[in-house]
Amino acid sequence: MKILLIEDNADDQFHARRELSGLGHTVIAASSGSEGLELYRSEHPDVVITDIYMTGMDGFALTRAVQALAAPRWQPVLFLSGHRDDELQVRALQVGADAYVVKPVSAEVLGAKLDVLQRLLRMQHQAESRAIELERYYRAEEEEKRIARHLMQRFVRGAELNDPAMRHWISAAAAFSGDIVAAQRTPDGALHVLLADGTGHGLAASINVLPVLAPFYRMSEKGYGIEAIARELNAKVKDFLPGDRFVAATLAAIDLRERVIGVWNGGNPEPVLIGPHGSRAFAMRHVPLGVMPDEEFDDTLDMHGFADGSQFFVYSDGLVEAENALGEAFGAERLAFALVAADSAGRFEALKAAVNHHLGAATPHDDISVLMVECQSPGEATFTPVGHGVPGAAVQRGSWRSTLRLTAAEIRHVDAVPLLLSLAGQFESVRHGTDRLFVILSELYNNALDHGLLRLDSSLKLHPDGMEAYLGARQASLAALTSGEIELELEQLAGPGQGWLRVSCRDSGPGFEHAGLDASAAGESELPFGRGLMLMRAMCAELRFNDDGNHVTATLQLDQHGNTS
Amino acid sequence: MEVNVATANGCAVLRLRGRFDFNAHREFREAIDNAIGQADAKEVQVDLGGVDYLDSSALGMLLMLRDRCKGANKAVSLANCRGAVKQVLDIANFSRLFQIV
Repeated sequence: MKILLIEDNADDQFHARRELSGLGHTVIAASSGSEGLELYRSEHPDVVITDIYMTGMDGFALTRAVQALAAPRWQPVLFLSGHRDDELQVRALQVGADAYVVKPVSAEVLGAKLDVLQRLLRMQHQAESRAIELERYYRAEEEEKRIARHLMQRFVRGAELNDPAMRHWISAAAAFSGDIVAAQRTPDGALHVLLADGTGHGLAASINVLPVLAPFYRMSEKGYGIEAIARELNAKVKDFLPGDRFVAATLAAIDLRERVIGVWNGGNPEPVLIGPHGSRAFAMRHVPLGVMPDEEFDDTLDMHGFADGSQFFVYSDGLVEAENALGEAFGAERLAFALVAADSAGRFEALKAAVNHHLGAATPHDDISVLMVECQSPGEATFTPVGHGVPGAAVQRGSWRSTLRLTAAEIRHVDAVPLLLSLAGQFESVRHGTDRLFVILSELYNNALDHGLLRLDSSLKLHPDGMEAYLGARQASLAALTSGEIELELEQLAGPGQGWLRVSCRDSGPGFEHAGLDASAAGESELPFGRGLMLMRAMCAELRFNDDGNHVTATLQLDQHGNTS
Repeated sequence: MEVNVATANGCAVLRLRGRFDFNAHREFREAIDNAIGQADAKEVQVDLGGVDYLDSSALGMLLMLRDRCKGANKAVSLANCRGAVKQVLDIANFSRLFQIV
């Protein structure tokens, strides 16, 4: 070791130097406290050996100065004293000396004490290098988390969640939330929401949950129903994740026009609909996503109608299980109370406040997520009637035509509308006009199915809970459908400086009495086509029925940029 | 969490006590290996009577057990599900996947 020796007596210094060199150490000597301090600064010795009583700066003052310079590290200091004095020794040890040796110095004693100091120095060095390594790992991990957080944010379409009809709150247990909340409007304005909770929490859970986002957005944008989306997400999760990982998820389709919510819930607590007439829970439960193989997957939806001014709440189990310092969970009762006690304007904030109040200073051990949708029917959509100059003799066939004919077996399983929509969207001429095309296709197809094949009674819809009863009957009839067919045809037509898209739908049902329909009849109509018909007349250049009423042809005008105008 | 495996009447019973969460991964896996390895046991049962807390990692571990039992051609069931444990299993609809006794 390199030793700094501070001793003002020349003989003592000589003697000590000789002993120390004999032990194999390098010695630098100073003859006064102040000289010693200078040398300490420049030489950085491993150990300082100092006399106590010196003129000028004494051993105590020197030690204090040296320790101040060395801080926060530890500088071993050994005192040399001519006095075998307990009180002096105690004082020396208290001021920062680590050992006390009485002059004249004996080689064995000095050597032994220096060995102790060397051992301690090695330990300090080890601890320091471990601390440095830990610091390095920590910084690397923080950087990785930063990148992952950045990626996660890119995946979730924040803009869709900022829809004025929604509020959401995510409180992550770690730096990452394993919960994901997403929303997407369908082409005809219905709202799809998703709340997914991956196994565990933190980065690993977030990664579990990512595979569900892209299919959810893509399929919703294309107009697929949430039964099909749930099935696809189940297959994705099952494929991507290991066998002991799954994703609890709630998918909901909120049709603001028809005032109905359809829910698929597997593994999350039941969503709640709370409105002017009280609250209802969507109690149908499925197994979480990623567990069932496709052939056993149950895509049955739970449907409820709602009155305007209702609010729909979806949340993860972290909310109900949030524990305060005493280990008490927030619980279903407190949740129900918080929702019911507040009025609709302040309900979301009241729920957040209740949870935070319950948690107190305790940190939640699981991610908390809540999504609320304001269920308010928009005013009647005003579509300005279009379509002047119905195609006449000058019209020719355009670039393409497509026909899709489905029989009962396929009608039960295939979502025909998004299929055709995505086909049509491939063509330049139609690319930007798919919104209106979606509405037309849906109206035609659903009417053909509901009234042509399933023979459902639309008057059901008029009663307060009618929508639910109607949809329940529809689900049952569809599952039991064994015969019948629907044929959809899309064709692009061209005229002088004009383009058209012709959509036709033919079903194998008996048709209906269309002759007496008056386009100017406002409000709900008892006839099967009713409001949908009004919508279609507003959007199409021409709408034609065959005599029986089971073959409808709608013609949309395409403007120069391929928009259906 | 403590896990205890005992075989009687052709059924290997895994008796669990304590918190069933991600920390229990290793003990549970060893217990599964043990239970499945018992040639004369045609059935595996998980006794959750002593479990006071169950989280989603535990559900995942139960799913793993179910897969392993299917592969080994053994029946599997869950027993003595009470309170908070029963609640979690209900919410996840696990009665569709396991026989619950």
